[in-house]
Amino acid sequence: MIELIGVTKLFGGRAAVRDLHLTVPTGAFCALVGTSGCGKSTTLRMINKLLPHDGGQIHIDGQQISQFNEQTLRRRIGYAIQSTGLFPHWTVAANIGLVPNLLGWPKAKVQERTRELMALLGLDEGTFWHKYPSQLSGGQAQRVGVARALAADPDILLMDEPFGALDPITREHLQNEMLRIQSRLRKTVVFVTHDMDEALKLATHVGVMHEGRLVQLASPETLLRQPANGYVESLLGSQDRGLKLAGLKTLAEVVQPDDKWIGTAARGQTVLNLSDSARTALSAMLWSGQNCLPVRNEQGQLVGEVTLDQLCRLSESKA
Amino acid sequence: MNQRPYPLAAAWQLNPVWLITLGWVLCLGLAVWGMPHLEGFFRWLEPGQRQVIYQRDAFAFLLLNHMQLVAVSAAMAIVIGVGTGIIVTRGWGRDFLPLVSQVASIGQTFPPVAVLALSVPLLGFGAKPVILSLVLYGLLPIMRNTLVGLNDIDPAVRESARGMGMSPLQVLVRVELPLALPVMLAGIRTSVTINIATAAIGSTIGARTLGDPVIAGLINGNLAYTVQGAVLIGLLAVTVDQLFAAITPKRHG
Repeated sequence: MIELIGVTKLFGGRAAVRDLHLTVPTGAFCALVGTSGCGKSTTLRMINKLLPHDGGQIHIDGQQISQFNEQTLRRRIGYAIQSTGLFPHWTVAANIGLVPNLLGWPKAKVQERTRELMALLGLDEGTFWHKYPSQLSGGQAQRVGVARALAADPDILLMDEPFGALDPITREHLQNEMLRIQSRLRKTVVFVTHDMDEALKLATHVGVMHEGRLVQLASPETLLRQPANGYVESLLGSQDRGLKLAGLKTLAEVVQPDDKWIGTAARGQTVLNLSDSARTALSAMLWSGQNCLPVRNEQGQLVGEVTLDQLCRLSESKA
Repeated sequence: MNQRPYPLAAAWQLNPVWLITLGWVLCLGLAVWGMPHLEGFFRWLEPGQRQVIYQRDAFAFLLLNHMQLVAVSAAMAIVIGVGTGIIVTRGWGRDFLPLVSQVASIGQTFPPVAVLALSVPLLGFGAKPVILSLVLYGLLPIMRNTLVGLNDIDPAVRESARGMGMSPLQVLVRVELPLALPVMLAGIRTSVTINIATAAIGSTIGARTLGDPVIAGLINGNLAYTVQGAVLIGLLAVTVDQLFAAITPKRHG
């Protein structure tokens, strides 16, 4: 658990972060969102003491971070940044094994852990083990960066716009990987981004920051339904809030699977999956011109259908 | 892989650059050993002289002494140059950066001959004033390249090194210095090569260098002596320069 209690950071007399209260429960994925200079990166960097805080307290699992030695603290916290910061003179394997080596793990254990992480991040061992960062694409480098952050199995992961510099397709791919990894590992994550869609997609808690203050901290759905003020609303985009909300819901929450459908063949060409979002379903309806589409489960069997009416009611209902 | 341009190097599993270096070392050795045997050529060059081969000291002795002077002064310049370069790029030393750059620039602009002249009354004749002037003259390229090398490192690399929990010393030794090494070596290479030539003027104040035959030749109007010293100095400079080319690590990618 990470707790920030009345934290303040001054840069040359100006407050970059002021009186910030933020609690990230263990296993939560907290995204800090805001425009450039809102203090979100500063907040992140205070948690692993890359920046000292000028006021307030920061606790990790109940202990004040000022009591920790900087290096000891940082080795316990995974850290991934936008430009990766991979060491150009080290191979991929050496980069991933950095923190375990700093912690003095035996060589064989470091190698085994490196293998494990390369598999987790979908990096082929034979191809990448001996490569240097300059030989990687942006997406591959960021995978290595995330693997390195996870290497010593830290409880806490700090990520500063890790996917910000990637092309949209690679970014979406890595976001999905991140969701998959987080569903397995359940780390306590603080994730800085300026991309609200990314925050809504990945986070369990979204913190909106503006001019050094935390304006709102809420679940993605609450944030969409009850934005605290005009600033949050403007970040959410007033026009497509309904679509964003629909993007948070999967069809599994809408469709009641019914055995009577099993074995029947779909009439049209468009078939949805239970794991698709309501937003995808809406888009499919718009595209196909039909207001009722069949849905199948993970095994590819039809389990029901979803109607436009259902989707409309979904967005009305209170969480 | 099976079409190496240097078959001999491939056979020995050797980087071809080492073969070239070895070639220059052999050349230098051959020149030191063979110079007295070229009497016929030098007699043709200076038919009027009674003696055409420099004989006051053996060339090998002068060469070793010359190299020793350059090596000692280079070692001192590296310690001072790299050391101050590191200090002024740390957070706590950054205030000294302008001062240090200025001092090093002055060291370079001050002619070594003037340093010799000024330091003889203090340090006496011989090797000491020569080393002083060589250190001052060779400091700037080393320090400047150390600064450039360290400042050119991607700030994200330094940030992530700290963020991963490396101590300041670990960041310096395992990340910053290895990344800056090629640029630093280039500075040391420039400094040493220049100082191999500059060390010859030490002969004017009694240090024993390959400048001895050159100076003796100039004083006595004996072109043969001068050529002998100059050829050896030139060969030494090229050989050492090639040696640096061989040890400079390749950047990845």
